[in-house]
Amino acid sequence: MCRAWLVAAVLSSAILPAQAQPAKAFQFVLQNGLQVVVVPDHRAPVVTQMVAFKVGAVDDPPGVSGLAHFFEHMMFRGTRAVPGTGYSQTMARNGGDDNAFTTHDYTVFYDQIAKDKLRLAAHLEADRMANLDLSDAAVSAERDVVLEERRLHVDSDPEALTEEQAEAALYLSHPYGRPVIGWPEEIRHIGRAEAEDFYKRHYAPNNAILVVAGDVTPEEVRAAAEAEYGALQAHELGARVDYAQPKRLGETRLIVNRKDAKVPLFLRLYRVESYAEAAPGEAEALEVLARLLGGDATSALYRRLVVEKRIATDVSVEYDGYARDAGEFSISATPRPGVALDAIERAIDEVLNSYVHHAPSKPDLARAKAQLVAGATFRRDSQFEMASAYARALAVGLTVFDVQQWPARIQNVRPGDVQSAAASGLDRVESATAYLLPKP
Amino acid sequence: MIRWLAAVGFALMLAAPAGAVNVKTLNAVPGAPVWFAEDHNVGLIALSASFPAGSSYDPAGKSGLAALAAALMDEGAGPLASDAFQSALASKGIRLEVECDRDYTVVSLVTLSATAKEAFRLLSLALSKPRFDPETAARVKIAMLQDMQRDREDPSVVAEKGFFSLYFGPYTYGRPVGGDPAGLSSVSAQELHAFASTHWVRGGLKIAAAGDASPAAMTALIRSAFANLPAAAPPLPPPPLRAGAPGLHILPMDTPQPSVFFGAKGLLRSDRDYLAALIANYILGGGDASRLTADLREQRGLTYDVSTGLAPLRRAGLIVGTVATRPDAVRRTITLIRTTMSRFATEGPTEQELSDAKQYLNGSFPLSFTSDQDTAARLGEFQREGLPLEFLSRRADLINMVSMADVRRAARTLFDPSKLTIVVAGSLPSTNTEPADSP
Repeated sequence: MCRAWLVAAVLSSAILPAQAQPAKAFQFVLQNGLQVVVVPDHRAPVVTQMVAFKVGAVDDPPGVSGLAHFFEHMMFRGTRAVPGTGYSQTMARNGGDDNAFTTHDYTVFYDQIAKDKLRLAAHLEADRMANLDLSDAAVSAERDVVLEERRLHVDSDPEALTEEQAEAALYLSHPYGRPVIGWPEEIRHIGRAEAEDFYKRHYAPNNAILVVAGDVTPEEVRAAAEAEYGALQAHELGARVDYAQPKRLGETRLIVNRKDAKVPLFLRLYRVESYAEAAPGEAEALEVLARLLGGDATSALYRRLVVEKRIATDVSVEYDGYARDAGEFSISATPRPGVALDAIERAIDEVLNSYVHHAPSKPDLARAKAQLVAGATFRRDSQFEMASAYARALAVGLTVFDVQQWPARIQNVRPGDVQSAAASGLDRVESATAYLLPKP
Repeated sequence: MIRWLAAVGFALMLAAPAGAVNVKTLNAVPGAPVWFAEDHNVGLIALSASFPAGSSYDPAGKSGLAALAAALMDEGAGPLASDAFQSALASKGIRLEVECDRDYTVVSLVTLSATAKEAFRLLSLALSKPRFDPETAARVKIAMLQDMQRDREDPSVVAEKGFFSLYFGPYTYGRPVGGDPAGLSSVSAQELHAFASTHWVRGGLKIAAAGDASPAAMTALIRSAFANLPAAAPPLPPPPLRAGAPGLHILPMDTPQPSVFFGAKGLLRSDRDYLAALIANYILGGGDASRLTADLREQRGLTYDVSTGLAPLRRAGLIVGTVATRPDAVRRTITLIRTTMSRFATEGPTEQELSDAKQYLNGSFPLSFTSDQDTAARLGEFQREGLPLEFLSRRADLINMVSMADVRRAARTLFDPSKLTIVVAGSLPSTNTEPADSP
């Protein structure tokens, strides 16, 4: 498993002379279907435990968007054995930190704690995987908490609202167009019955991935996992709906006028292939393209719009390819005061066009790869980042091998691959373009 | 701290609690403490260097100078103009980040160990030969002015800026870190050079590093970047003139969720009661298991996040807190915070709360030292707080020694609701009825 990576690292030695060893990872499956990945890192006497369920906002029932995310909150609201907010209290009392997050495709719970408390952390996590005990009062209070969370992160942020609108337009009827946190009117529909039904359908060891990173051996994790998670019963899961990703016949354009916006924003989203969907190397080419276009101050869009033409103050490009269905490629730019957004858009399209017609230069490509590959080493420094990398990969159908190969695959991206990614990946028909404009 | 360092000398090993991390002091830069956690496992080096160059050093009328200088640190140095400097960093995957707060400018560098020499060479250039080219400075100024404009959208930023302005007045700590439009616009290249040569200096500098180098190699790297900087420390800014504007202040803005920032006089980090205050704060509003989280979030669903914290600035200590809620629940939320705080100040914690707090604060300590990047950052925080390296190994005992009487005293002194300066960014309905949002 590691050998191919080492060979690639040697081949790339001109760029990165002393590539450190990749982190070893070990994998096994419990009889009840729980997948387990162990990433040993013995530098500090600490472990990070992460449990990813292969359920997310795409699994929200019609009319109840936000249920998966709401349910993530309810996992902190008590079981028969550990009632109320006992989960976080027990973790804190034992010096542990814990949190969780939800995406369209998966839901992740994680904690970090002293290594001699791994059994306790596993015990609490296994308990709430099967024995949640919801009350009407907790459901009702938590629904208000989520509405406040939405006001905090979306409703009071015109840029977030614009992105939410653009995503809703981009994916047509596919649920990637529904916000993970849910539409406010639909969050209000969530009740105890919906939450309990969701729990029964989706929360089971056979729908989960356990990743433990840190100061443990695979044997120790196996023993802890067998003891704490082994007794959980696998059960039949609610079927996942196989949503179509309808063919788009034209681009979407929208203009969002907001009184609360003080600064305009240009945003374009493309529906592109994800790591799960793409042919080998294609997602990696999109990753490199995003870096080349807008990764930092050396990127093409930043140089052209911010430094040379002085029409923008910031440009950002991101590729999010960790999804079961489509990935998303986003370009955003903030104009200098007084510059119209269509001038920004024209300049961006000129740069994109040049990438369609010309392969990137060798130094540019080498620089983008060096940043991406160094970034992989920097992530290996962190238990949380390593656990996240494996959890998200397995949750969308990739493998441990894919994670370990990623730096080598990035190194293997050729100039022509980037050109193809720009030409066929960034298709305007597959895009939604939004202008956020301050309303006087 | 400098006196302490001289007494300890070269490469003293100190075992941190629970084997969290082994940190050596390196005798690399005269006058500056240098802490280093050696770790050859990952193949990277992380550095956190703190300069006495925070926004409180901005001269009158030049609010934004320190932040602008910090933002320009990676925008060209020596023979390399901005784009050449950025390319030199990027082509090796080197990350250089510079942040300015009220007291310090903090430089974070992360590099593969294979590219460490080049990383420190570029850092040395950035610190000792910044260019501050006029076109580059103009571009960054425009972006910062636009950030100020955008900040006006965000109720949490409006409330925080409003709090510091009301609490401290228009001097030192009262001014926003990023400056004000008039001050920032008026900063000249000459002023930037003068600021860098007097504030990006060895005097008052603190350095923390972790990662893949031997102590000798790390010493050489650090010397290459810092040893030739000027020795003199800048004079500390004057202590703030005003401390607090108790009462409720409303900064009207149209928002679906007003944001509240509140605070009062706290303790300097050097105060004997600081750890007692840390424990008291943890119980009231510092953690997920806090009284405020239980009362406001878990029981009543009033907010996504309510928290309090200690802000030990160099010239003033504060306790601060934030919460955000729907417009018709703001008054009720503030009333509940006052009530919970008042009960805590009067009654103090329970024995269980005190023991839980100590177990969390000690048990979670090693979590900050699991990566080289976190270790360098956390060591830098301790340095900025003026703590000696011994603190790492003594912290657990010091926390355990805090008594119930100490925490009660801290709670009574610090968490007095009548002393709070409370700033709300948003509009409140004039009536005091708050129907729940959900049916």
